[in-house]
Order: sequence, then structure tokens, then C-alpha cells
Amino acid sequence: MSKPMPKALAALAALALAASGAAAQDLTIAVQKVADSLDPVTENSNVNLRTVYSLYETLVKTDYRDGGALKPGLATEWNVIDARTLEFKLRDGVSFHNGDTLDAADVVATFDPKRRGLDENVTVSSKQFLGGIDRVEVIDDMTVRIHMTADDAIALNRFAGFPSHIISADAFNAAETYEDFAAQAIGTGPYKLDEHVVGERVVLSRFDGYWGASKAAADTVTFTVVPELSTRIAGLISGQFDIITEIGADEFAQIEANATTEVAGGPVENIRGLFYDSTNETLDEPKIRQALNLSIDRQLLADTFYDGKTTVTNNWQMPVFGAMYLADYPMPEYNVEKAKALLEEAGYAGEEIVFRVLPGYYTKQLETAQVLQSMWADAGLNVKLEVKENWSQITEDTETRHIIDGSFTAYYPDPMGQFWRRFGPNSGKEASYWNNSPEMLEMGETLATSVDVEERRATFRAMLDNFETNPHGALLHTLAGFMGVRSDRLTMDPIPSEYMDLTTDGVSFK
Amino acid sequence: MSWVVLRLGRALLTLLLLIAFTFFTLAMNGDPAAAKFGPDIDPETLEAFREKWGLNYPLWKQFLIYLDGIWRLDFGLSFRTGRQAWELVSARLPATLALMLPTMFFSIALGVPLGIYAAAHRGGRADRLTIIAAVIALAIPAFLLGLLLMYVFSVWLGWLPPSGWVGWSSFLMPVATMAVSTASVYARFTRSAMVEVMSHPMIETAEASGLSRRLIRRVHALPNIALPLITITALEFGNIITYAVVTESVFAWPGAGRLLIESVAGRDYAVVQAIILLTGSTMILANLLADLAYGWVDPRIKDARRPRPHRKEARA
Repeated sequence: MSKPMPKALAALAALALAASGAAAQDLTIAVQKVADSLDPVTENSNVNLRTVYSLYETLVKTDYRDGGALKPGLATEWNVIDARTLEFKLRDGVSFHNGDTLDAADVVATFDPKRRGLDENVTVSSKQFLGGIDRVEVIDDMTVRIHMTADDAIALNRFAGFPSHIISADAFNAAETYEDFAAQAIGTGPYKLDEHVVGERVVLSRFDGYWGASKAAADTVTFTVVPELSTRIAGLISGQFDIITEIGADEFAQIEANATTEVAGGPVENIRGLFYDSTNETLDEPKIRQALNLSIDRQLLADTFYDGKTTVTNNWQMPVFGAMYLADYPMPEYNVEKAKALLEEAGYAGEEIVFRVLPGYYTKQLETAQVLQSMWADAGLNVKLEVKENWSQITEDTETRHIIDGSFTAYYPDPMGQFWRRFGPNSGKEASYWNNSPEMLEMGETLATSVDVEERRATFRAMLDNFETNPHGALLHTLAGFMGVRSDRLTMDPIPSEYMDLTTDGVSFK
Repeated sequence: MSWVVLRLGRALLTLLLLIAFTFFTLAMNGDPAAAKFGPDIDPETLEAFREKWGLNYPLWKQFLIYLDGIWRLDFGLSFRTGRQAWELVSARLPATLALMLPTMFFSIALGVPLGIYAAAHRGGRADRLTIIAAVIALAIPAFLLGLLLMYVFSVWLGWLPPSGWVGWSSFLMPVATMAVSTASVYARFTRSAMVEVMSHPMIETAEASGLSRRLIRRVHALPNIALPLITITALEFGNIITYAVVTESVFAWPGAGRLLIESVAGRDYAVVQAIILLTGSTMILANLLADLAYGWVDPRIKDARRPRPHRKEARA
């Protein structure tokens, strides 16, 4: 019994340092969870997105402070040779955290088959993002040409977003196993990894060799796991934490009422929505799914659960889509009378529709489900809520899977990165949840491969119209991420993304 | 000797049942692949993960593979981290023990004297107040008491850190949260045991012989309440582990209790099993030690466990 105690004290002392937040330029951020793996291709989760932005960079940078414009990142220039070939000129003098210098070998290692889900011994979650890459051709030390397997309308976007973050070839080749490599989290970002204790904390420190203009704002950043929201709030108010994440509208008043704390954040590039299983009885009738969509008062949900601090989008798109954004597309319709008429036409006689809910995964998830149930009841829909414990129970393919929750992150500022990523043939739900019509699949192919913007816009509009009549899901509102911040110590300027900007652009000390 | 062998055999059977129950309960109501990757993953990745970790085998086969590992003291790898489950658990154990041991100490140090005091003033105001306080302390759930303490001492007064470990002051609220209910159990049991002993004819005899009440309590009563206290200590050990799971979550304490919650949610079988096996063994060991302690405290029990001589030998 005597041996473990020194270890215990060491572990606790480390936590003490992590949690103190006393030094002038140190940040302590209380989070619900930290990623199990900080490797972008291994873990696709909102908690990993939070740290990825500090550790890694992409060839092309998506500038969230400029409407999602694509700007030079680790590549200074690029050339879209054709719909399936891109060439990137790499930036000189960029160092990785391990001292390796950026060159073409690093891009080759980044898109190694192991990191694209093509090696059965390495489990990664990047296949849906990087599966279309055929090979990386080295033109010279600082120039690479990337070949896609098929025409890809958003090929450039794929190298400007998750999980195309460039890794060090030296680290990749030197590691004994992929897990060993992934644990090092070596990138070129403004912070380097000091410590990662799974389930407990991630500690980052300023990377002095960072090339960019927006440097690390803090000397160290500690993401410490505090699962209970009440404890995170107590820690913020008592000064133990500088920032706390995942707060809801219910907590705004308490945080704002305190003289030294405030709420930061707002809508992010993610739509909160629902999926319908139209392969099962009752929801196989499109009119009933249309009625479900018509009965939802989306603005009421946004106002109630987000204190009006989030928005409802004009259908499955976001302004960040730029040229692909259909600004004139109408808002989703809320019309209970029309829903009732459709139900009558469909011959709906109160058959039970099951909505499986996993409380706590999304903000106010159970409460949202209860309000939706009540809205649907107003239109005459008999929806039963079934509360589940985990995602495998939610997604289990049985006759009673009718409605499940979902979110629709715009990984790329394009319908291919959101709407068609989640409803298209590569969504993982085709055939299991629904069968897209041949017409819809054909339009999806055009959306995926055409490089003519006008043709793509017209196709996207037609797809949204088609989806209205045969919906496989419902959009609710834009997801929002709110944080509590120590306003006496910091000023935060978050980006509208699930990434957390801890550079001098996003955080300044008072 | 045969008594010890019997007890050990029962302990091993209990452990086996515990492992089997935990394994099948976890395996039958959640898929580790879905838990690890969440809802947005493609089916091919899920399938590759299941294949890699042997999750496509029938459950009975997975169980036998697991048992085979346990037999070789290999608790398996964590799905979440790819690291040895035992390595993860043992890294968290010291923090849990650092809460449990002071909790046990303060529970006994506070609860036993309170129970004796209440029994000594049986029926009086002090007795009634002690009982009411003990009932309230037992009735308040640990998470609620933890949050109440946090709001008073961290948010209002700003005296104590609400989470993690930032110095020795960090122990106060978690230990108090766990010790309050355990101390109340000790107070109630000590009181009732003391009241029972004090109504025994031997106490009357002692009083008649002119001994003081204090001496009677120390010499005649206290040794007689030792047995129920040993029993309670063995049982409360299990309760303290339960309180640790809740308390560690409330105070973000980096112990094995919080790891258990994370691992159950993530269907990280190997880690859950390692923790359950460890806590189960601890409980069984605590009960075994309590049984052995009975014999030491009360020699009559030791005598009763000795095998009786054969009738013929007895005649000879």
C-alpha cells in the first residue's frame, strides 16, 4: 500500500498546477470532456475540434473572421488544375513542434493510406472526408500535387478543413505504432502539447517557433475535465477557471449577474436537426414526414432554449456557403393547419411514431424532444418518446426506429459538406434509413462533381425543393456554443465554429 | 482451516458471478464502437473497429477470451485509449484512496463518539438531536450535499476550491460529503448497540458492585459493541466506494470512480471490468477480514469454528 502514494501525490500535484490558473498568462478552461485522442483523423468530436485548432494547421486556411474565406495556410499558393487535381506550393520556414521543417514529405505522410482509413489495422474516422484522395504526387521538395479518385467540386475545401491537418513525417515514420504517433499530437500550430491525461486534462504551451502572425495568447492552456455543469459554474465564479464550456441559456443570468464573469459565444456552423427512418411503417408515407416538419415552430425552440441567441436557417444551408448560399430560399414553413390536412390525405389514424432520445448529448435535448412532441400532438401526430442510454440503442435498426436526433456540421462551407454529406449516398444512412430517389441521386452527383457554380446552385435549389416533398429529416435551428468567461481577466472573441481560437485574435488578457 | 477454504471458495465464486454479470449487462445494452465514434461515423469504420477488437465474435466467446486473460492477470486493452486497462485504473486509484481513507477515519472518529454520547443520554434532548441529525445526514444524497457545500464554501464564501486538487483544502468538501452519511451510520449503529449492551444484566451487576458509569461503559460495554462495529465497517467500505463514484464526479476528482462512469458510458469493457473486479475483491477481502476479526475480538467465535472432536475420540 505504501508504493502508490507518491504516485498519487504526483498526480494530484500535477492537477493542482493544472487547476490553479494563478499565473499571469495561463489559461484554465473547464470542459465537460477532453478528447481520447488529439489526432484529427482518429477522433472526430466537438471536444477534439476545440484543441485541434491550437495544435495543427491545414494547407489552406478557412478564415472564420472573414466569412469563411479560403486563405493561404501552410500552402502559400494553390492551383486547381482540374476537378480532380490540385497543386499546392508549401510555405518555407515552417517548423513542427518536434523541430521537423515542413516539406512535401509531411503532406505525403498526412494523407498516408493509414490516415485515410485504408489500413484495417488502424481505425480512423476520416474516411468520409479523405476517402476521395487517390494519391499525393511530390513535384519537388516544396510542391505537391494531390489527385482525387473522381471529380470533386469541393476538393479545395477538403484541404482547408477537418481533418486535413498537416502532420510531421518524421514523427509519423519514427513511431512504432500508429497509436504512439497519434499520442504525440505534433503539428505546426501556435501551441504544442505538454500533457494529455485521458479523461482528465490536456495541457498546451506556447510554441515559440510558430511562423504565423496570430501567436498563442497564453503561456499555457489547461483543459481540465469537470463533468458537472454546476461545478464548472462554481469554479468560474470562485475564480478557479478562466473559461467554462457547454453552458445553456438557463445559466446565462447567473453568470451575467456576477461582476467578474460574462457569457461569450453564439451560433456555430452546425444545424441541429432530426433524422427520419422512412423504411419503417408509418413514416414510409412522405406526407406524414411533411406534416412532422410543418408542425415545428422553430423560432420558439431557438427563443426558448437559447434565449433568442441562435438563429433558424433558411433551409439546409448557411451564409458561410458563399457563392453556394441561396439567400432568397424561403424559411422552413410552420403551418399546423396544412400539416393536419396532409395527415388526413395520408389516412393517418394516430399510429404511434417513436422518437428515440439520448438526453444530454445536445443542449436541452430531452426538453427539445418534449416540446417537439407537444407541437406534433397539436397537429394530431402521436409521437412517443423513448429515452435511451447510448447511441447504439438510439440507432439500433428495428421497426420502432422512426425519429432520432442529429446535428449537421458544415465541415466544408458547401452543401456537400453539410446537407448532402448527411443525406447523400455516403451518409451511412442510405438504404438503412431511407432510399434517395434516382432523380435525387443524379442531382447529388452533379452537386458533387460539377465545378460550374451556376449549375451547382440550380442543382442545390432543386434538391432542397425535392427534399421538401420527401424529407428524410427536419432542421430545427443553428446550434450554438456558449462559454462562461472571467471578464475581469480576459476578453474573448470566439469564431463561429466549434474550433476554439486561443490565439491573440481570439483571446486577450486585461 | 476448512472454514477459511470454504470462505475463499465462496469469494471466488462471487467474483466470477460479478465478472459474468458485469460483462453480459454491458455487452447486451450498448455497442462500444457506436459509443467510441458517436452518431456521425460511416458503417465501414464501425465494422473495422468491431473486427479489430473481436466484437464480432459471439458473446460467449468474447467472455471466454476475457476470462482467459483474467486467468493470466491480463485485464485487456481499453477500447478508448488502446492502453492496458489496469494501467489506467491503477493511475486513478491513489486519488480515490486519498479520499476513502480519510473518509473512513473521520466517519469512525465522529460517528462512534456521537453514538456513545447519544446512548449515554438515552431519551434526552441530546439523544433526539443526534438521531435527527443522523437521519437527515443519511437522507441527503451525496451529490446534493456536495453541491450545497460547494455553493456555500466556494461561491458565497470563496474559501474552498470547488473542483480538482489545488492544495490540501481540496480534500475538505469531498471528504465531508462522503463522511457525513457514513458517520451517521456509525452514530446510529453505535447508539443502538450501546443501548442494547447497557440493558444487559451484567451492567446491572457492575453497577451494583459500585463501579462508575464511565468505567462500566469503557470496560464492559465498549468491547461488546466491537462486533457490530466491525460488521458495519466491512459494509460501509462498499458504501464509501459508491459515494466516491458520485463525489468524484461532483468535485471533478481524478479518481477511479469518475473513470468508472466514463468507462461505462463509453462501453470500455476492459476498464469497467478491471474496476468492478478491484472493488469486488476489496469488498470480499473486507468481509473476510471482518470474519477473521470476529474471532480475534470474541474468542467464543473462534472456538465455535474449530472442528468438533470425533465422538469416539471424545469418549476415549
